Amino acid sequence: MNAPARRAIVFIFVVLHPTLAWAEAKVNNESAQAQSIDLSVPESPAFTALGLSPQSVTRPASTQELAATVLNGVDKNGNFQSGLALDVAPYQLLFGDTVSLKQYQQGADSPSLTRILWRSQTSAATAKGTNDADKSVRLALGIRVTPWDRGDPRLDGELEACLRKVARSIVQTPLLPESEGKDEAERSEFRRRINEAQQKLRTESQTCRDEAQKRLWNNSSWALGAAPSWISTDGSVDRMNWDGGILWTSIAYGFEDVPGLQDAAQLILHGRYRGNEQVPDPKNKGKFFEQNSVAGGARLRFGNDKFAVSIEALRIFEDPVHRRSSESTRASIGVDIRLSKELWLEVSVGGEGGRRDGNNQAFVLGSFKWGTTKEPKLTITK
Amino acid sequence: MQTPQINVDRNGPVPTIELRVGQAHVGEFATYLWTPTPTLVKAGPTDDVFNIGPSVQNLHGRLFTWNLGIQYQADGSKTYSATAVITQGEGTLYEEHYPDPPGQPMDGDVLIVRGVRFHVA
Repeated sequence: MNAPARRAIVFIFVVLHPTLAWAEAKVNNESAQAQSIDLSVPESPAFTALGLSPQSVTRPASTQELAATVLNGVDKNGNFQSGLALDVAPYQLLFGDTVSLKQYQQGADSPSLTRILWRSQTSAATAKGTNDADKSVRLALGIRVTPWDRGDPRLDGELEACLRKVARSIVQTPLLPESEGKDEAERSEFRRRINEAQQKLRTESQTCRDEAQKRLWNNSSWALGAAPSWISTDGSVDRMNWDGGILWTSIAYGFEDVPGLQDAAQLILHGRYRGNEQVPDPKNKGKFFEQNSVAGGARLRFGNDKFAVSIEALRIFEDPVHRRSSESTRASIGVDIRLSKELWLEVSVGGEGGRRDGNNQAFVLGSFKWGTTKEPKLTITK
Repeated sequence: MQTPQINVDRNGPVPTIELRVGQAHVGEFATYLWTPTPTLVKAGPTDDVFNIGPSVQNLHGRLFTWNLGIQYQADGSKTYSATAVITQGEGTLYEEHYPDPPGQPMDGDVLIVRGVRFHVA
């Protein structure tokens, strides 16, 4: 590690150290992202409802593939197959081929049913019981809707102009189709020229998209998500019982038209409700109790290509059945600092406070994490 | 595969081509008549319908090609869809759908270069 990097680490540690005095601090070099509080509406709510991070997600590109995936989710005896992880945008799949960019952009300044349907994402997932003796299967369905999105790249005039400029420079160079080749050698040569032009189209178009991402990452939007879930104790389809669900909403404000902040800051307000959640009982191993919870929070992110800061907090109200309800607050501050071209320092401080444990005692927990990475985590990602 | 030859009615109107791109992607095209050097017929954004050349007689034996660029705006675009339809009056002379077969994943921006040869009779 070079001298500036060492100095930056020491500086950050010295600056942040006093803030640790209030907490029972733990210092380690795990990924600083572990501190981050999730304040977004999940892309695939069904996976989140079941607590899954599936390695392999089926994203069907045709209705036939969708039907096959759904049919494979249930065996011939009517039992759920565990491990289903399906993510699909139904409107795009069913009608996307007939929607031109011009139709998509119609009435760009007002909400449009086409765009709302287009951005709607549905998901489905199944998960089996926690051990071999447990035959239960849980099923969750999810939907994510974005009624309003000022960062929609299909509505970004600058991106479209950039892409069209690239495309014009390539399509306006006459090329003979492969079928015009008199023999295999000539066909191969025509194919090579087309592939070369296509590669140029891809490379230059990617530059347009990268620039647009920097411009659009923080734009204002509103997203909603819902994921009802069911449980079947024996895994069969006809013995499904309601197992609760989750609702999410997030509103992002991108400081549009605010000089200095319009491409550099984003404020997210987030709320979620979880009903009928089965929570492991810490006093009775293997037992669960039912709980409803509500959470509300906010995140402020700002930065540029050299640093990024994220400040976030979440207030949680938990109401377990036949137990004392509790309230708590989680908060964290994360900083990414660019040390060199491909080296970023990540630092985060986080904690949870106000929660009352079984002895009705309030307590506070905090932790400090740091690490280095090739890619910044806090910047320009939506 | 040889370039498809399509029959054009010498007494009918000038054939038109319609180039469409779906999935709300960016589509940009250029079309050429070859003699054998290429002459630009029209270039621009899809979707568009326009005449191929000034007269039917002028098309006999000539190669007509279209370059069609299809670009996505954001990662996560799973598939693409485009069509090229050549008509004369009410009749469809030629139709192609991309990708072929449909439903193939879009693994990047796409450049389609295709053509037909006219036989006027």
